[in-house]
Amino acid sequence: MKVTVVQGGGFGGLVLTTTADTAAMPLDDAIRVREAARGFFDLPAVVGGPGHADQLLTEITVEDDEGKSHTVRFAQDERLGNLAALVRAAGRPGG
Amino acid sequence: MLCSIVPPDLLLDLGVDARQLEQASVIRTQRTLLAAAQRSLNLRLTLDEEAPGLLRTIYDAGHGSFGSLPGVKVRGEHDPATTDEAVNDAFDNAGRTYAFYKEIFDRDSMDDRGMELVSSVHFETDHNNAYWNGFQMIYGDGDGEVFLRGCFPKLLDVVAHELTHGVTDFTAGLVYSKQPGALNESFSDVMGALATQYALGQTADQADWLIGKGCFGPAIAGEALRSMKQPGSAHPHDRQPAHMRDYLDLPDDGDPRNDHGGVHLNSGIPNHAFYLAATALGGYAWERAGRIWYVTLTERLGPVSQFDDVVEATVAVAGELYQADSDEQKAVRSAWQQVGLLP
Repeated sequence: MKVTVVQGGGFGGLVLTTTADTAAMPLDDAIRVREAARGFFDLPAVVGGPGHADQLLTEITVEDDEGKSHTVRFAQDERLGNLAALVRAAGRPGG
Repeated sequence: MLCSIVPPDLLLDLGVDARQLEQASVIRTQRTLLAAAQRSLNLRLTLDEEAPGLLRTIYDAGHGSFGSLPGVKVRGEHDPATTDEAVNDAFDNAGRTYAFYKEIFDRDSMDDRGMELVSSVHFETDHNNAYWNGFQMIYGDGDGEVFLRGCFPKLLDVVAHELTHGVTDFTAGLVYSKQPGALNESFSDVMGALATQYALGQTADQADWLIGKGCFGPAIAGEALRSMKQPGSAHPHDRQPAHMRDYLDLPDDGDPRNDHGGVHLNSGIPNHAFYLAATALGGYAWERAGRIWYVTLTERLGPVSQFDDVVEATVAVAGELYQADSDEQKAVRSAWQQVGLLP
């Protein structure tokens, strides 16, 4: 399973990306990613509201082991705990 | 208006926290809640209680997320400094922002009615952002790679930028999308720069016109987040245009790459126009150029104002404040010409 996280907006207006591949990470981390991605393919393409000024915008794309992929976009929000967990599990986007 | 809608459960949460605060704070917090409800419901509600003056309250979110906001109160207006640098930085720079607005524009806090300045520090872990959520400031610590730790509350231009989003919420209400969003961002950069210049006693020629100078960590290795003097030059990934011929017509489609239709990108154009007007006039930028921009933001614009509306308004305000064909009006008109917004 591959997870790609793109974050943009925020005070800096930067676009930062990270990709995690469960095949290339320690077993515990891979399990954590798979657990956080549970139910991801059932989510709509856009989740939550538009957010506030300078709030981070996030896009997560998950590609499963059969090559099927799904993308979800959201503004950081308190109701999106599972998606935030997936971002943490995949690793913080860097420059 | 995108930026002003506060979820009902958030209002309830804040109401619970307000009961723990002192009486004056409760009154101001209630006013904040009413103002937020007023804006989200488009109603006209007021509290008659007068509560002018500076009131800052800093909370420690304890690295928690939204559910932990605002957090544990760690410093009130009359409390001494703490051992936590982020707390003291957020407190001091909220005070400097308040002083800038009060002493230069006679504005009493973000709502001009003495709104309590609430800040939460240590939001989440290694969080790379600071923002205004419609009623309070939220500061992450930075991860030490993309952003240096503790840089957000430490930089006055960052704090004043974010609190100016609050001023915009209470006045023009510029929606956070495409041109109105770029204007929303630009007014925050302008006031962030002016608050810093005012605190340092700098003239327009002495200022560096950089936003977020020294905030980037080793992963970015840039001088600053934005340059009003030379948009597009602040860091290796800086795509800000300085002229309308380079305007980036991006969709507002929720894609993080498109930044709400380029709000942090196209803001470079009005940012540069302000720099040109301020440096042409010389002296302290907040005195003439700053006043023209402030009156425009607070009295002449609406939620969907476009770049052309700001051009027309600033030229008109310059004429009203300093007479037609004054040096001030000529400088403003010339600035917009140089960025391609006037022939």
